[in-house]
Amino acid sequence: MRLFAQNGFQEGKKIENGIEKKVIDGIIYSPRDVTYTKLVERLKELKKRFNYIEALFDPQFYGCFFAGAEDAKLGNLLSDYDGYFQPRRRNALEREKQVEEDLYATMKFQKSLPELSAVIAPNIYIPRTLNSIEAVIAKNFIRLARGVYSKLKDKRPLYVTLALSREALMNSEELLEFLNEITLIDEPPDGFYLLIGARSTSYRTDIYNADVIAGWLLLNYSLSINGYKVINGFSDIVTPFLGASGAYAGCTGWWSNLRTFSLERFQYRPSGGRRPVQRYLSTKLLNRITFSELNQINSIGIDVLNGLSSDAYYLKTDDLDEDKIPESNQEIEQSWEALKELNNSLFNMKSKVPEKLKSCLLALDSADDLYQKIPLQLDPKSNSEHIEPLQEGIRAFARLAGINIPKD
Amino acid sequence: MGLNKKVLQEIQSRIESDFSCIISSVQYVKTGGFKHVYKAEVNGKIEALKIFEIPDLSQHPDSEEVRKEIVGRALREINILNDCSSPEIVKLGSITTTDYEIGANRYIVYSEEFLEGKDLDNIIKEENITPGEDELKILFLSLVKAIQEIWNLKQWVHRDIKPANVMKTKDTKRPFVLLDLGIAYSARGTRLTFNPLNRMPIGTHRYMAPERLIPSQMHNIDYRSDFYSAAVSVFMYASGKHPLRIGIKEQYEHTFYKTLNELPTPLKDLRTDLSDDFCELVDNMMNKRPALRLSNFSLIINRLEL
Repeated sequence: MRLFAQNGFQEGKKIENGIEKKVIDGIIYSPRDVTYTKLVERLKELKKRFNYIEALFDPQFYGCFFAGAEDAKLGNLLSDYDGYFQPRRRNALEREKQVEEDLYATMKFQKSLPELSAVIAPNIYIPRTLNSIEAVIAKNFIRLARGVYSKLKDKRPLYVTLALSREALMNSEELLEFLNEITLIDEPPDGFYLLIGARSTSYRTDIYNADVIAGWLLLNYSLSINGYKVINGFSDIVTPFLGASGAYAGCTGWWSNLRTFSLERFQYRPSGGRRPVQRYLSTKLLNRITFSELNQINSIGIDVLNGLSSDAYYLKTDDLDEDKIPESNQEIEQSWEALKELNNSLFNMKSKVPEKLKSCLLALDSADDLYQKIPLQLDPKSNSEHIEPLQEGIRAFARLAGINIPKD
Repeated sequence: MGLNKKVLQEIQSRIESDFSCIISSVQYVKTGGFKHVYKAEVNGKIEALKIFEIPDLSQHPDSEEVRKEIVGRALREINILNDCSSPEIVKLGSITTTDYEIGANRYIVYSEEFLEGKDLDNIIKEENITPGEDELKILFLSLVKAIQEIWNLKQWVHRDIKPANVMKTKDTKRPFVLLDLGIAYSARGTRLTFNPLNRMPIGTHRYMAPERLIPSQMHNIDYRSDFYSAAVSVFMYASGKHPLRIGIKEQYEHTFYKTLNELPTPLKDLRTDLSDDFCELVDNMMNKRPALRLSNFSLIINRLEL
């Protein structure tokens, strides 16, 4: 399973570093956070140095409903990408002609970027339920994308954005009905760029919820068995679990808003606040803990380390050392390295879905056991609250999909 | 069973007159769904003579609706067969559609090619065979190609794929042929047909996909319902058993409950000699949810081709 960098503000040398260290397989650029000039320059640089990586462009069209708001935080979208990104109202997109025009403009823009490995068709965000006007519009984008793309005579693979809220994902009957339709379109794309939206990037339980996890796995399973490649944007630690249900790739980045997808990033919020605390992604805990928690846990002899090269950024060389605070680019390298390791080792890639799910459950049991041994009060984001929803989500997915997870 | 002898003779003589042909050696084959099937020589060539019998419905409370339903079935089958060119689907014979009023009844008559062979239902019941994986793949592939052909025509769904409607022939170029499109349904707008006598979902219940039993979903079915029935048929041919353990005489309620709620037996449990890939494909096609069945024809055909 592949891991891509979810690009955002303050890229620096993080991407080059990640590719050189072989912990990421590609990058997804977001126009909100990069000027057009910089985007073109970066794509050329990266493809020149690392021709083998996958480079993609998320058009972020789902932000178009905010474009009319004066205080919307659209970054470069309206200034540098107005060739396809324009304010839109829902009723305008109820007309197929408008959908076709927006598809054409967005994909034509990507045609002008030959360094991209594939083209991602735009879509709107489904905010509440799959039984809605937004869901109908989203299905039209999916249904019409291939036909419009063929007019551009671009031979690269075509992915279509499918962006939906965690609320929309939680009704399994509506989800299956929606899947019934999108797996049966006449002119299918090659894959989907899937985004699951939380209300806020700081609501951990928005994503770590059994129904959300089950729905997310179900989407990947249904689409992948039907031959679609599924790239999961902002999937972060859920990535390897999605791999068990058939995902092609997952993505994560260096800020919290690159690890969880939320439309919140397009809305006005008072600025300020503290810089985030640097964290360590433990493959054994299947979660991030703060660097100081890592050192405390280490000091009492509990092993939560991954045994990977990026551990060195966090470890004291001797007892007299102060806690090491890794730099931002080291923190993201550590996250990518840990996720890459989980993608490769959580289950045998050659095994079947039921066995993969079983391996995921065993890893979660093992993480739970390890948490029980830690005699410390952990930060709310560091504790074990993710484990039960993941376990329940996997089991609920298996029930929905009619998969028998082996018992022993 | 079959038609009254006098009625049959009357129909025979009318056909001979209308089509300027000679019909001989007429032998009864079977009856089902208002349709009688005879093997007959038409100008010396063996064909399957199909006679839809539309009974006197004057006393029936919905006589007109029921009559339309039966006539619709006959005409639909003929129309689809006329459009099909796939070797996996039975072909029309020399007698094109004709319609006779005899007494109070109406008869719609046409002919199909007569396929030498035996249907899978009889083979399963009468022969203690264990088909190999190659044969099973050819069977599944034939059904998938037949389903693809009728779907691509006008989004038809066969709706009655079962061992009794699959003929194993002696022709190596078309070893398995799908029969009986009488209750086919077009996703482009055929009225949903029903069993005119009891208003139950039409078809053979133990081969029906779950979505065909759910009122809110039965109007939105597509070819994946046929995939389900095809997979059940392949499973039965492979193992001699129904994957949900539904017997022939099982009550409707039990059949519906098992179809909607119980997990099918994995094929590998009964046929350990078959490859994992093949067993998984059959199992997948029996998923309760159409969206979780493989639906891409090319992918399926690639997996089944020898």
